[in-house]
Amino acid sequence: MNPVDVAQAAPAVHDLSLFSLFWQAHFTVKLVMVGLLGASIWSWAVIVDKTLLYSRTKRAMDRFEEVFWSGQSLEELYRSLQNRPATGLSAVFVAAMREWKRSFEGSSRTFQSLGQRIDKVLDVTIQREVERLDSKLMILASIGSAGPYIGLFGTVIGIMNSFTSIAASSNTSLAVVAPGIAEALFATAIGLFAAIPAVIAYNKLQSEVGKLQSRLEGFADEFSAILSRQIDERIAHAA
Amino acid sequence: MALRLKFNPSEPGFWVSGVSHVVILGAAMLTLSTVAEFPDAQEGIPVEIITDNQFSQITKGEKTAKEVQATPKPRADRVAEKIEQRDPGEDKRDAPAPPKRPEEMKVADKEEPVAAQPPAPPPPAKPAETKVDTQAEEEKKLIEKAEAEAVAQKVAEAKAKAEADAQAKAEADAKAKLKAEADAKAKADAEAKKVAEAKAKTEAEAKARKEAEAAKKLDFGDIKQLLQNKEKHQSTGATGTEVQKTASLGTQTGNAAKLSPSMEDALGGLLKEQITKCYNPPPGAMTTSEIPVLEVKFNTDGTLAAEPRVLKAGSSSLDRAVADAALRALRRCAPYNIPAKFAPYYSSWKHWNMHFEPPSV
Repeated sequence: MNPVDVAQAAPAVHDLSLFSLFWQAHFTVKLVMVGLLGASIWSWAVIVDKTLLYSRTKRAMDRFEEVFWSGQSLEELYRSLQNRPATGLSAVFVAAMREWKRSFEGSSRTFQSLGQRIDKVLDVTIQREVERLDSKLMILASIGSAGPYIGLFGTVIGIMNSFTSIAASSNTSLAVVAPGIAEALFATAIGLFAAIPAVIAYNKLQSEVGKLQSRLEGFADEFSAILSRQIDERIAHAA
Repeated sequence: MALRLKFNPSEPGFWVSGVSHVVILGAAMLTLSTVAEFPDAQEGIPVEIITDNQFSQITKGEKTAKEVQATPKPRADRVAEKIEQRDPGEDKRDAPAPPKRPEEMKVADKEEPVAAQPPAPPPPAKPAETKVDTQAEEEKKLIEKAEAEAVAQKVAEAKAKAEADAQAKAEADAKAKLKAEADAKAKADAEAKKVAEAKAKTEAEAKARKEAEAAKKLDFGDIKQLLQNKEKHQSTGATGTEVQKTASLGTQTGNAAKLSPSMEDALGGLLKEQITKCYNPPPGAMTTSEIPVLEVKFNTDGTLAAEPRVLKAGSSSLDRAVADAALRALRRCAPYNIPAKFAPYYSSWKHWNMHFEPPSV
């Protein structure tokens, strides 16, 4: 053997960069790491999307309320919103107004249970809106709770693997033991890296959904009160 | 989840997240690729705590020894005339001794007989003179004698050489007479040179001697005198049955074994049995009021390492007579036959306090 080759082969120090940590790991651990990285990307995608959606919804609600309470005729407002895809408060408004219109524009005027019907429509619309806002938040919850466990699974597999190879090489110096354990712990690190933002964002977004939902419900109650007053007035006129 | 690979401006989450992950991973690979190494830690020195007992039984050798010997033996500088093993110990008196003493201190000058000094000085020629002077003169004489011998030797050598040369010359004569003559001349020159050198040497030596004598003159304030002191130190050195100059670096067999009580009893019985054979009871001593205790120091081979002595004896004259008789018996019976099974426990019976119970007649 060439002495130069020996000299080059001698410093077989483990490269502890992130890529080599990943590359030297066991197949299962690799799988766990890749999965957790994907989970992290997914959770951040959800976080970004939802944050944008909520801020957009909030702004739309503000604008709608401003228009609604500006004294504009409800008919006019309805006509302007009718043909647009409605979200948030406008969706609630449009749904209620549609039911109202249907009751008055038909040949037979059916006032008896109009209030009940409007309430039902409002409830259904609110539920649909909340569902839309709430969707995918469970992904964050799942990643936040399961991420550390998945990382731990990878770590346990990695440590088991490195212990078996230590037993095979029958050398227990720290320099031999350390790289395998560092590799294994890298899986837990990625798990925590994915899980911590997911948990924090889940709590924050959940509370925001709650706020938006209560705002929708408040508007729906108010609008339902206005409409029921209108109904009563019309019944009185008719009588 | 259906991956929306087309960019949707209202839901850019997937792209934003993916790109930011790639950026973060890239940055992490760049920054974390070099791992800071820990500074080399100094290895701790294990400290063991040993008890007094373990310390006393430790079989340490000499720290300055080169290696652990297969059969470690105590160091011995020479074989003693009287067979006893002695530790190297300390000198009987401090060296360097003052080179000379004034006449008035003659009484204090009594020297211990030192058997160990290899070149034993011949007995003083003139006992009438003071001992100090005698010694000085002896030294002087010795030096002179040695010098004279050296000179004589040199001359003899030169002569022998000359003879050899003459022989060679005679042989060479047959071949080349002219050359031989030249050689003879050169040889003669060389001889003359040698004689001159020897003369110069004797002169130089004489000068040195004079200087030495001048320096020897007593001056209490002169430290130089102490430094020039050529007197041999008075340590008798370690003695043993055989000379062992290189000490062992401890033994590989660990600590000294300890004698169990039953073995101690057995050994006591053995020794008593042997001593009793040599014991001559003093007249009238049938019993003693107090059993004397004797201190005996053994060597590994059962010989006495030191003169046994009485540690404790009764106050009456009879008791003391018994103790003395026991001492005599101890000396007479040495060496003792100590079975080999006790050999590993030497450190336990090295110093033996013997309770000597006089055998009832």
